[in-house]
Amino acid sequence: MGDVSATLDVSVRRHVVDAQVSVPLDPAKVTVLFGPSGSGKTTILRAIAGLDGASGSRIVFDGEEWDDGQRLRVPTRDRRVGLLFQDHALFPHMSVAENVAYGLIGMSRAERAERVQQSLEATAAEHLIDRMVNSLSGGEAQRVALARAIAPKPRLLLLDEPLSALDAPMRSRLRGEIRRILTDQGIPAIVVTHDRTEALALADHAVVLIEGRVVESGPVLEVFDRPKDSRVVDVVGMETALPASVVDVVDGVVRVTVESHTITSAFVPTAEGNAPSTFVVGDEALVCIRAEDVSLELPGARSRGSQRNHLPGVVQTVSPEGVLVRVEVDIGVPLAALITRPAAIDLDLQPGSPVAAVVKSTSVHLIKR
Amino acid sequence: MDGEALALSLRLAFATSAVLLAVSIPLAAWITFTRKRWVAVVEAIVALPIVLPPTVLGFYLLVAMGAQSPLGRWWVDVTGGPLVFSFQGLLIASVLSSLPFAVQPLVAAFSGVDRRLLEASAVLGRGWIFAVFKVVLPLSRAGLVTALVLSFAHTVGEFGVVLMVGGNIPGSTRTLSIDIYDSVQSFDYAAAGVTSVALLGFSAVVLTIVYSLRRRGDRRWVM
Repeated sequence: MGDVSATLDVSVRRHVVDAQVSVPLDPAKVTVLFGPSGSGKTTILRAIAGLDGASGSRIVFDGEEWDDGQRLRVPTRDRRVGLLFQDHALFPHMSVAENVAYGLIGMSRAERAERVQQSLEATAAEHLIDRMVNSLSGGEAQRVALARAIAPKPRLLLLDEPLSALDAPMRSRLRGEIRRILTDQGIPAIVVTHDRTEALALADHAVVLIEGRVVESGPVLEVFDRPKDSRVVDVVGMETALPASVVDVVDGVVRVTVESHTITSAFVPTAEGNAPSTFVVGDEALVCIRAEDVSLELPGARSRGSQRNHLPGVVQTVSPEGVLVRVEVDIGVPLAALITRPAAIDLDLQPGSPVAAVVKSTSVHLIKR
Repeated sequence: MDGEALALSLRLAFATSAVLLAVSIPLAAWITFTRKRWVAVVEAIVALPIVLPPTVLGFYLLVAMGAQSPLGRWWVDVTGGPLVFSFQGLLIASVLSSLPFAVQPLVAAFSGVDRRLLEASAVLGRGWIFAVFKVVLPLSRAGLVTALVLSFAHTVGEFGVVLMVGGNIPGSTRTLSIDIYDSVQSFDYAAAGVTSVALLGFSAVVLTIVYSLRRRGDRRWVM
């Protein structure tokens, strides 16, 4: 596990899934398998744990063959992985302590008690030790389940939609905490989720799955902010993706036309792929803009600022979204903006109001079509 | 009522229930959790005593345990006596004829245990025997009691198979139901009536226990 080059190589062919995934096994590195429901994330996770019998999967953990695709080689109980189930799957007839101790094999009573205590402390659940599990709230149960998963010191932790069964306030509280627990434990982890916030909060590395295929993988920020594949744009939550054509490339700054607008895009390339210099005049591109990167101003109020893109349009809908307000603007094509509630009140935005959408050129991401 | 017959019936029922407990827990666990396709064949064989006339089952057991059969010959070699028309032979016959009454409630109870709990057990490094004893059985207590009570009651009431395999030897194979049959044959309706009422009451009490247990189920543990 200390070997930085260690990887878990998974190749799953089952039902609609046909995916090859390579996951770095550095200590405390968290990889997210991200994608919409039905994209095969959980199938891959279950194959890694060996839960579906002969699965047609090939799984090699740090050089150790777990599954050769013919028959299940290493049974689940011998793989030494920890699995956190979506709805925790605690043993309902046992106490919290008994649940956490369940996987502690070959220890004396005293060692077991100590390990139970340590694991519950790690997940901030030590006060629950004597409770029966059916008296726990959703958040408490998930902490206990995580303690149970880490207690036997697994070589790999698998988390299946760890927060989806919780209500919103509990979800946001546990999100940061799970990240801290995973880092503290120093165990590589794979998290399955369809929630963008969860992926960004928990993971270092992201693998995006769509319809059973891996479409993109890389450092999580890069995948989410600068997707290379047009199919990923949608699943990572870039609300606006407009077809455009390149009209001008000067000093790494690309200008494209969308409908009647000219939009400027500039970014510092972080990896191989869609660096602006790879665009030439006449290329077809997809302009991707996050709603939170779009600000709105009243027409005529245009200030002399550094933003390059001022796109006049008309407000279509205004809908509150938590502390923010989502505004759909028609600039000839639909564009989504996410602004604060006071800003929306200040601008007196109503459907039909004329506005200008303002976007920094570094917030405009281009993908080749 | 014939005290000796009552004692024998109870002894047989206790012994049958004990053997069935040991046999049907692993069998039911295998039926419930295996991925083998031919599990249906095993289930059908286990269920046969429910649909077969007891005389048919009794006939085959008589042949299988008779002095001419390998099992019967082996038994004579080991014990010096025949297996048929003995208590031991009767026990084997009772176990087989009551098998579905023990296995089916257990399979029903085991099937109700959330599969993810077993997956959690495997991921935590435990084998299936550990999982059966620590997870499956504690969560199937109602099914376990139902299986025990039904196999006990069914053995007390068994007639056809007992008559075929055990005959009517006082103290050895003459159970309560044989005693009733005997009393009727010799026109002693009063004795038959007393024993029948006792069995009727016993059966009603047993079934009431089973149904009230089933009503309570394991709902306490449903989260």
